[in-house]
Amino acid sequence: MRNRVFLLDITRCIGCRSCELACKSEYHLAEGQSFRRVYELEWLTPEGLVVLYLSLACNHCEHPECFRVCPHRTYRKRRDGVVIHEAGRCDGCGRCVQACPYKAPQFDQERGKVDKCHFCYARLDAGLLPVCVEACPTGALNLREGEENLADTVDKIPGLPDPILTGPSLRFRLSGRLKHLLNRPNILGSFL
Amino acid sequence: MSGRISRRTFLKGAAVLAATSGVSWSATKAYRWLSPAEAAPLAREEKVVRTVCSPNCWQTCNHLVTVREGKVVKIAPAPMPDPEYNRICLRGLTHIQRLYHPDRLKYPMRRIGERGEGKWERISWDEALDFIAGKFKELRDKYGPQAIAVVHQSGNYGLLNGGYGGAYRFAGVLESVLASGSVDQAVSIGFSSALGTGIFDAYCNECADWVNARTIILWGSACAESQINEWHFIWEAVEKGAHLVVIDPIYTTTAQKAHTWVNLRPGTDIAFALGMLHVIITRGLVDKEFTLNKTCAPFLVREDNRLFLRQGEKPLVWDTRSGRAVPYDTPDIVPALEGQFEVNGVKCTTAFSRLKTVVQDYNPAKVAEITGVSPEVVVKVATLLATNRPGGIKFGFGADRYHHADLLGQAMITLLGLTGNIGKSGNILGMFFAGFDPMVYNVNWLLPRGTSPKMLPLIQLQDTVIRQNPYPIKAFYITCSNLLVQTSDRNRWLREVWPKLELVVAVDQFFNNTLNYADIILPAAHYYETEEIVLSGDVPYVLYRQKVIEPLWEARPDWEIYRGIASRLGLGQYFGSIEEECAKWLDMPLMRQQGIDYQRLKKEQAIRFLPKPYIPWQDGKFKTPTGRLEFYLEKKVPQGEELPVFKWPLEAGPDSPQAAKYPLILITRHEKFRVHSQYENQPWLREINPEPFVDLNPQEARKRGIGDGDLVEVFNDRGHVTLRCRYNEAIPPGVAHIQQGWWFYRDGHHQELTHARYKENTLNYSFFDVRVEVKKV
Repeated sequence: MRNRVFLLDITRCIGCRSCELACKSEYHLAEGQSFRRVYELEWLTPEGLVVLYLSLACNHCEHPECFRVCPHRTYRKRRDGVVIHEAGRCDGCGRCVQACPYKAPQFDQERGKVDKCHFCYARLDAGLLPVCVEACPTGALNLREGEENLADTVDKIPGLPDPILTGPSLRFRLSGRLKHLLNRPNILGSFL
Repeated sequence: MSGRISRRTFLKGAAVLAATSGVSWSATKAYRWLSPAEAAPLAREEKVVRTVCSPNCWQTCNHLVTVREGKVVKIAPAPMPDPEYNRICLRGLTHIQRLYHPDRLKYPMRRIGERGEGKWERISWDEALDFIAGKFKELRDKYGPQAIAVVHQSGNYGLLNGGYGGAYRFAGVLESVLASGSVDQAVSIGFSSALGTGIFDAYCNECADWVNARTIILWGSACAESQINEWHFIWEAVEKGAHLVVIDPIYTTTAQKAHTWVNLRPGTDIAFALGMLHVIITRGLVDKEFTLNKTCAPFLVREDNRLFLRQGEKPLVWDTRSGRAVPYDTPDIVPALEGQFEVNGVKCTTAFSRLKTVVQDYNPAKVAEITGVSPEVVVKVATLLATNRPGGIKFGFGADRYHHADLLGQAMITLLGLTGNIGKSGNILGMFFAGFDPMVYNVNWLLPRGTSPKMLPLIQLQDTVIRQNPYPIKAFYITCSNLLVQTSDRNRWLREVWPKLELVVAVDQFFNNTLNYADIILPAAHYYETEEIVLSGDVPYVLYRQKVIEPLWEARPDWEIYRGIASRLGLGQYFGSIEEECAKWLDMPLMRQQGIDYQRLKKEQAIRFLPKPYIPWQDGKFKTPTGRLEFYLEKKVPQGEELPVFKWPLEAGPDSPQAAKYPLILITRHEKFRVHSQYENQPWLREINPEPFVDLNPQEARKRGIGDGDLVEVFNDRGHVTLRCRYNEAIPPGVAHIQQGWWFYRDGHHQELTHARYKENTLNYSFFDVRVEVKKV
């Protein structure tokens, strides 16, 4: 199995939301649906206002909660780790929406079904990058494949669920002032 | 017709267009309006077309557009000859919605109610063009050709269909007034004067070279939002160790990324710049070699008239070897940088000494008092620019929106000159803009023999129409411009200018807040629906826009509309075929030398025309008469502005008579969700930016009893706007902020609050030099 993760360089990200729009544009998503979302988190510190942009999608977890709770076996996990939602079996019960700690599956009012990020797997299979990564104008959003590349990254950001729960394919790179600030526990509270 | 869109309606409209798809995983979404593009091409009719997106972020991104069964289904960044220029942004990614938007103008229409009432009837193109040409003829016969004003702004950088190409030709052929410009030009007027170039010439190192900078000052530039695709160059420099300074009163995304954020008071930028000059001069941080040999610093300035002391045309310098004044370019001399001299009874000082005198009062403590920034920051930024080289200053147009912004431009170029930050890899000179440089901007094509528009700075258009002087303007032809949203003093337009106009023609894609007030509206083709050359913005390429799809409904490219009107007036010969005109445009020496013609361009689509890397001024020879960097501007002696001096702006300063009544300065800046007023109604963008807000620091809001989300009125003597207030810690106290470019508000408009007062030598809109008050409604 290939170990493929989204790597977000938080210091590089400018919160422009091109990743989010690329996904919406690629899949012609309906109102309110965004398989990738950019969270804009701000907090006041004694040193002033701090703003952080977090671009999050489905993390294609090692132990996906969506997969575990779905009563209709709507979810499957490919050998390369990509978690796919087969909308045909979905009856919109919404258990996965409740269960996912990252709020990745989203309920589509119009169809009465759930949908989520598929890691652009058809593109991956064709040797292309996911559209969100391709559109990123700053190089903040990347793919990493293979353990050895992850030494300079972290898997935890305050406010995100503990990665030990589901094993998300998501890493972060941090530097400078943000690295220092995000070392403080619980600084962001829970934002998801 | 209402300008508000309902996303629900949009989706329903979209469903009508649904293409069926029975293929693989996309099948789940086939009920929607179009199925997604597949990674692998399908058996169905599908093509990928390379084209250019060209609004006024001037990033001119090249797109690869997938067309399936005649419909655009996918947009992706296109590979550029140099991959660092591969680019796209959130706005460009919404073109599918823009093309197929249900509110898109579909047919020519004629007003049947009152102006602004929103009652229209559909007419045919022939009726529309006959009517316009007939009226134009009538006005021309009665009042002369200048009864018509072609009004354009920056909505499109296309050669034939954009504001900076075809519109010139059209106005020239009609001999009408051509009202344009007046935006983004004050800082660059001051800046480029010293270089001897035009204001939008290619005087800066190309963006790809910025990665070599060690000190980057972003001055009034929200680059990370407004020019998203320039950001990665800056950030790459930072990752290599460069120090990033952002000068901006607002804590923008860009400022958040800075090592040093200079949060000065709005409108005090010049004082900060003078403080930097003070530090550089008094602490001996001047690059003497560059300053003496490449700038006008040693030129002798007469004390009687403050002009250069000359022999013939040549300014003189004081040669310390021979102890006399000699022409500046005399070989084997050692000119004095400073000092007072007497030459044939005329007292003189060097330009550098005069500069020293001008800045002597602006010590860091005094600058701190004016700007509200600590003295240490002044010293730090100045020292960085002078010692942590190569460095540069990139200006955005935030600091350009004040009355005396040209003086800031003068100060910036003086700073770069004195620190020797010119002509080397890693230098940033203001902004990189390639498309308007005379080497690639073919004026002979714009205005062929026998054609001559009467150029009128846009900011003077109101006065001109009201006074009917110097031109008896009775008709507007507005293209590539949302005039009433993107220029100031909206009430004056509608109350005093509009009643004098017998005809207002507006060409656009949507019912924005200008079209409401037109008499005839014409549906313009979208970027993807035309073929032409595109003037490059901040990329070093000649660009070709391929037509992706035929214009939808009855939309037409501007060029065809010009031809339709002109031919009815017997002037159609000036509007040739796309092929002919683009070929003629490329007939420039630089293109011929490099073998770039239209056939080759059509094939390659993006061809580099500048050397790689492009670093101007490496030889230290400038385009001024002396070849030196002339930061001392003789032409501004009458105003006492030959050197940068600090002056408070019109309204934004504390000395303004308005200050007591209107304590807040209104800043209307660019954010990432739009390019000026374009993309305002794109549903995907509105989802993440649903409605206009006035951003206030919570401290200011609470003082007025305003809660977060309360409906408020922002007002001054000129007008008002009603919208919700948003608490925003990024906005300093004393400032009210509204994103520029919103078309509609609950009531009023932010452009009612702005004024059209200008400085004679810049003729620039001072959009931020505005005071307002806010109250709860």
